[in-house]
Amino acid sequence: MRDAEEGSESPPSQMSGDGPGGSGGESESDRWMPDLRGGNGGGGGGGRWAPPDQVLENVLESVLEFLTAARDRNAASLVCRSWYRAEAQTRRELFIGNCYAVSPRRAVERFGGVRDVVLKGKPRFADFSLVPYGWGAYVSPWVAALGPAYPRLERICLKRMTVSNDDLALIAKSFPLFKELSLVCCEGFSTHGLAAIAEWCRYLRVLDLIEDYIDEEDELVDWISKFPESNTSLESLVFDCVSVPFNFEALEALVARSPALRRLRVNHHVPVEQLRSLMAKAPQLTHLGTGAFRSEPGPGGVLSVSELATSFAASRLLCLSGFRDVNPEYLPAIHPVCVNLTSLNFSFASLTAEELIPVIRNCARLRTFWVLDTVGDEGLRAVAETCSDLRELRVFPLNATEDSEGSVSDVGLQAISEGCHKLELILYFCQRMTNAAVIAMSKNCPDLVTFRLCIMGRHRPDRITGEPMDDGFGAIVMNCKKLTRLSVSGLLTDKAFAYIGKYGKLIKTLSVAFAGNTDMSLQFVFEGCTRLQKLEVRDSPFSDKGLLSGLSYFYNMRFLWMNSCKLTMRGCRDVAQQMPDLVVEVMKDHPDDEGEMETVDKLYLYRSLAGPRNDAPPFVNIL
Amino acid sequence: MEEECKDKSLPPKLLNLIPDGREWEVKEEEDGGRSRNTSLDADEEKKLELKLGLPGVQEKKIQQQQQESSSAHSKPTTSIATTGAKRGFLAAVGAIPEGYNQGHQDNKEGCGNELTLGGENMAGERKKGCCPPPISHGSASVHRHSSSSNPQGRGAIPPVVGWPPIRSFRRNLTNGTSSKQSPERTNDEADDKAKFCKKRPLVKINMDGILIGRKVDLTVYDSYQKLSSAVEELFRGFLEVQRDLSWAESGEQGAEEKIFSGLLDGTGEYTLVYEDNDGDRILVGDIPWNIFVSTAKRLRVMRRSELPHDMSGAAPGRAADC
Repeated sequence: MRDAEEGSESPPSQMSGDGPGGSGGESESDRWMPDLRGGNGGGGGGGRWAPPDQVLENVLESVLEFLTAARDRNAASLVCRSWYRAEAQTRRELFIGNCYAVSPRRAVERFGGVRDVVLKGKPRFADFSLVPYGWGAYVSPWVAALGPAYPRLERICLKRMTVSNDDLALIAKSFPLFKELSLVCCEGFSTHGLAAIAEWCRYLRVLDLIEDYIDEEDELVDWISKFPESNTSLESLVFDCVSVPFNFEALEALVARSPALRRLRVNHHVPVEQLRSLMAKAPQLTHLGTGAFRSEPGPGGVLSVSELATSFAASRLLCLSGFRDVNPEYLPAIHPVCVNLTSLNFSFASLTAEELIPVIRNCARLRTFWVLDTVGDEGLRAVAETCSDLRELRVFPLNATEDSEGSVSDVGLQAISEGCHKLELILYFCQRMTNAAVIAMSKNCPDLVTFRLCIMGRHRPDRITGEPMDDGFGAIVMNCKKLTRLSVSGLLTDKAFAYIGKYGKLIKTLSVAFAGNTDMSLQFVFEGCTRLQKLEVRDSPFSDKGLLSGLSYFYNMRFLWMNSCKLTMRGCRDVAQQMPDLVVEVMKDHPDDEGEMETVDKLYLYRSLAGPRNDAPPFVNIL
Repeated sequence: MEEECKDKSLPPKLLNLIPDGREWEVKEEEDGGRSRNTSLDADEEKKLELKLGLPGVQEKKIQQQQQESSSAHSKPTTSIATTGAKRGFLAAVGAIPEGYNQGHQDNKEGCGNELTLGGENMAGERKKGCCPPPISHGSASVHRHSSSSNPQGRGAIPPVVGWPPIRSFRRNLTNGTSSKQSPERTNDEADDKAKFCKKRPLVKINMDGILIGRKVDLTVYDSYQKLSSAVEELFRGFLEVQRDLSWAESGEQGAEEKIFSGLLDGTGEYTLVYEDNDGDRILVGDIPWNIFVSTAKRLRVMRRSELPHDMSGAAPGRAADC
């Protein structure tokens, strides 16, 4: 039985025969859902059928309050109508993994008491410029629906959505009790929108702006000054991606009047002199994004390393990041906190092994480490020797090109596997890799949940044996029994995918690039990976045949993305025709091509209860 | 950039490749497709379009192409664009003479290796789909560039959009000033936006000692002189404010005017420099104005004392006379 573990709305085919609504012989729009007339607005009570036993229902609701995981709630909602209603009234967190999978109106009608909304928009490959600007994922219709429906809403988390300043202003004004806003990889807004949030959300606890693209604007707004003038409830303020200058004095004052502040990540405009001042005003910080970590002397002159070290020694920091333009001379200043650090992010600091090693040698408790490949295999070896508790490692490339020298390799990966047995997540960019190292990792790190290996040169084989990387990835899926996310690279044949299909039973997310030789690869994956939710494929020789081999599985997935493969319009239309609850979007790089046989550049298909969206730009063709 | 001025014999081709000042947008075209074709000599472009497909298919095409290349040195004439399989990446025009190309290499990722790639390498790269390829196959640089080439005038590195999969704010970490590591849109995305929104690209300009940067639209000026005056206007106010409030030494009333004189000819306290696509920092004023407008990605008003030695000093031919 396949699960839609994360979706709050389950696909029709899964429900048919199981759900209270019966099998799929019903009307198009309401296939399986019970005939529940939700109330208007926030309460959800008006117009509801009066259940025979009100007491039982109240008891049920009280019990269901304890269910928090979406998966559990989804299951509970299927038991019977009464449970469905009770669950709908008691669900507090609404998770929508694809904003186009359901209409805002429908979500709001079903769930009455939501306090917390998570919305995800664009497909992940949008991060790599594969989705043209203007594709969609607008949050506006959601905010418009959520506002009246959930006046007590406290938290909104958006990922890869298009958020305008007006949207932010509307959020700020719609929810008087608003507490947490988290925008991850979003775009479309600027300091104007931030000012609205700061000004109107008087109870704001969290404002986390993570890897967003801030719109360029001619007139910057001093948004930091807009926070309430009295003591604030701020616990987390993350704005390192807001790369424009800001009013530092206002930030200092804000920090000083935010006694609950634990997490502060500033942008690169903050030199060490200013950082020190912030640390002095917020000694209770546990997470610090250090800005530029270099000196820009002010009236007080240049800050000495020892003075900065004193500041760190007086702190209670557990997580450090930033180092956006680091002057390595200042690195020793963090030594006093290294022993306590659980998370360290050097992924913007171009450090050599010599510069890293003195720091990392002290970080025995490190659980999360992000770094640039400039530290080389030697640096990674030092990490392996010290950080035996490491759970997450991400190694980013300084030069993200295919033919750069590459400083980390299979040697580093092997070292990590030998030292960090508790590793759960790894993201590793390199130029050279061997099957042996990957196999070693599969054996040494059995707890791996996420394995993402990016061999940057396309189609690169094992650097020693010259063989495809099939066996390495095969070992990963075979030995890492908890694996749910996998990204493959290097020279791969159908054999790799046969392994993945055979052993990757828990895989939810699979990313494939420049891999495979025939459509069998796709077939292996569709047939074998029973928990597959998200499949993203690029530049691989898969044709309509491979696409169609997934027909009976698409309703169990959140989405399928394929670009630069060998799909044609005919194949995509076939899918669209046979699967009415799928939205099949096709994007062309060359709009003047016509005909059924011409290749499809980009295919994005996803299950949806909402039908084709009406906000698609001209370059998107919904079949 | 110097090469461009010298290459007076090239103008027709040059202009073909830089239609109405959009060539940088074209150059960094994301979806790496036909739109680039239209700006280049379309015919030529089609012939040189290369893609990675099934190994067998690719082999044939490579052999075809190589045979023809060996007979006609400058222009590979194979038409690869047969099945209409338009990939997300596009081979560059191999036949563009070096003079043009060297100025336009897209070295964003700090790998200046395009010039070293020849037809052989490309062949090696093409073969990699079918049998264990050579280990180092000096293959494609990442971001799309429409016209990178190599001295042999042969072969091309097919730029691949979005590969390796790194978000744009993690790129360009090697460049000095541009390593502000801001997750802004890269030029390509901005250009996409321009494509859809018809927004004119603004160029950032910073001045040493002033925290706030500004932006200018170069297309509204038609000469270096006008730009220089505009720069003065942009920053004069900031300077005044900073001097009032700051710890700097006392300035005379008229000091501000003096700051901005000599921006272009290297005689003043500050001098104007710009960054091109490759991240190189170049003194403003040497190239024809309209080429400068399309090339400059970023401007900076630097203290002359901070210029590297090979750049500082008034260069004789630096007047804005183009």
